[in-house]
Amino acid sequence: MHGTHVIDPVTRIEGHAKITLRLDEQGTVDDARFHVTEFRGFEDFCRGRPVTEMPALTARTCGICPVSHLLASAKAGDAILAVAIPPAAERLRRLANLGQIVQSHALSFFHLSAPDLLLGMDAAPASRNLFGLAASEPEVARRGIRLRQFGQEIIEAVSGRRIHGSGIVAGGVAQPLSEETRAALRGWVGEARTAAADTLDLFVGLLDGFAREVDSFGRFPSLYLAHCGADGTWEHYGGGLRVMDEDGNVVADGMDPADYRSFLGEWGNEDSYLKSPYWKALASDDDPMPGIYRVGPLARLNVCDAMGTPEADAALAAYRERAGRVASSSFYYHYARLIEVLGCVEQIDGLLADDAITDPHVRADAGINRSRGVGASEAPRGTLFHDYEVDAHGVITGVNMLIATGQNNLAMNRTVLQIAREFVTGPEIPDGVLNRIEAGIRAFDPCLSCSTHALGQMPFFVRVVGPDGSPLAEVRRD
Amino acid sequence: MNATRDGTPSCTLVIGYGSDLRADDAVGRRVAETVQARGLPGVRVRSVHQLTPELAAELGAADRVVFVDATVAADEVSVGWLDATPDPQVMTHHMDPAGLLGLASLLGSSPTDAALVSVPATDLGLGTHLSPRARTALDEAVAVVVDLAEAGYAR
Repeated sequence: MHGTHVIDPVTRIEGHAKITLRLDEQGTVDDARFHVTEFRGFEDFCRGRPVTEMPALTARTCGICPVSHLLASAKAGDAILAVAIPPAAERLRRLANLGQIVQSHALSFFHLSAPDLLLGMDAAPASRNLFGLAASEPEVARRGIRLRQFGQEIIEAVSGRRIHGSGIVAGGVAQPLSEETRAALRGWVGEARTAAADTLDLFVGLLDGFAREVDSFGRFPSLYLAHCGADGTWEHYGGGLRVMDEDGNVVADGMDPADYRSFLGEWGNEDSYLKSPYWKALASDDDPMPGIYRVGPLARLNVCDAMGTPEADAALAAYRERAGRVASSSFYYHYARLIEVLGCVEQIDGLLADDAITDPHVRADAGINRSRGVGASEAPRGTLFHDYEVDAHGVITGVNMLIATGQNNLAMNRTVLQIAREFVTGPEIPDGVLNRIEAGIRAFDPCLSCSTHALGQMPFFVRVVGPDGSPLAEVRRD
Repeated sequence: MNATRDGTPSCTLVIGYGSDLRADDAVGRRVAETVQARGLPGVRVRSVHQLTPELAAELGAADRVVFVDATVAADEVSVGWLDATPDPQVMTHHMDPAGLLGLASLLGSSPTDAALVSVPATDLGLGTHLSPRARTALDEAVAVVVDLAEAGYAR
């Protein structure tokens, strides 16, 4: 039996996608494609706007990680203004990004993936969601909701609103942090730290039950790219870019994100709105796959030498004992995400304990001093680049946004193919297999709204086609 | 301020929701913000773009909740009573009031009473303005919400 499976829509991811599985003459999976079917076009309609508007405009790209866009955009603006922002502003930006990572990772783990992990990949879709989790594990669900709330409170304190704030601007931040707000946020830290540690323990306790998933959910050699401190410490806001290979060799280090065009190419495919960046030294537009690299929590933990905080460093050591110095299974994104949550809470604690965070000087003023600026930071899902060109008046003439999910696109395609080859036999796709294909994509926590700059929906459609492309079966889950 | 049966001060949570950029869709938020400006004791207010799962935690800390939303299905301000209905189609970005109550209930703590105040909307186009009908209805809805919050309510 030969044919093609198409999975459309893919559920519990941020965006709209479908999957095509092509079978060969023997009925085994020959190829798999992950298509993103949304389009939004921020890079075009931002042209003509003042650069000072860009943070608030591009924050609208996504409702889950608007802070990431605020930061990358504001940093691009800093570069165009040619300013060094005040120390308190950097502290507040870091605080906001840490809160963002906590809330986004909490959403990914508790709302989207925990139902798979705690209720089982073969559980009925009707109960394999946040409600099912709340019914069966209310304390876990409550913990997730509170952790996300903690992150959102931080974001609101710095950027003005939980979603689509505008308080992070070119030159710094719009408002200093009050002592009252600082005290209120500090009141959350103990609970958040306990919740992060308990959740990590819970996940580690489940891992032995997912040995097959660890082996088949995107376990392949690739490069890893992320920001890293000059001393090798985990970074999310500053530092340079480090690239590591599957054997733990540092391929490049201390790279300036502003030079990204010299080392990253962007490949576009006609069957998806999601572009696929690749590492130029190993590939070209004719064949980007040799330049496959991964970004996000897995990459950040792979490239760093240490997390930089005590509890997260202990967790990193245990992680590496299990997964090796370089974790290659995309299933470990979940694990890496939870270690990052713990590390973020520790860093938030440290930032809030520092009196300098309430310094009232939080913004540098300047005019247009450069015609191009690149801003980059670590979004929850990976490295994010905003690249702007402006005229003499600061009006945008060109925009390029390189989004984390896009950078994982080649890896997501390879992951779908690997899972399909492991679990799909013939044109029929049992629910449990469908769930695993979805879960394999979900491990990357893709945000298709960001990566295609498109409006988020969450359906799932799988089509099975034969070697000649003729459809054999379809599965749709709305 | 009202009191619960055990004598502790009761708390009413008012949640106005809608898009700030779609004209009358924001009227629920404007109602909530007007109520907040009055500083009523025992009343907490949230003005939000959408109902998200995190609000379940805040529902759990309230005795009563009043949702305020725009509607194109009614010509007058109206009050409806809500029951918790777990919604298996829960999204990460948004939920409906009954689904949010259902989630709060599953988490072990939900308000005793929940009401939805629906405010007439006629213009859902792009913009930050309110139509004349929504402006009039805003004042009426504020009075309804304040009555519910101050007097307590029973179905």
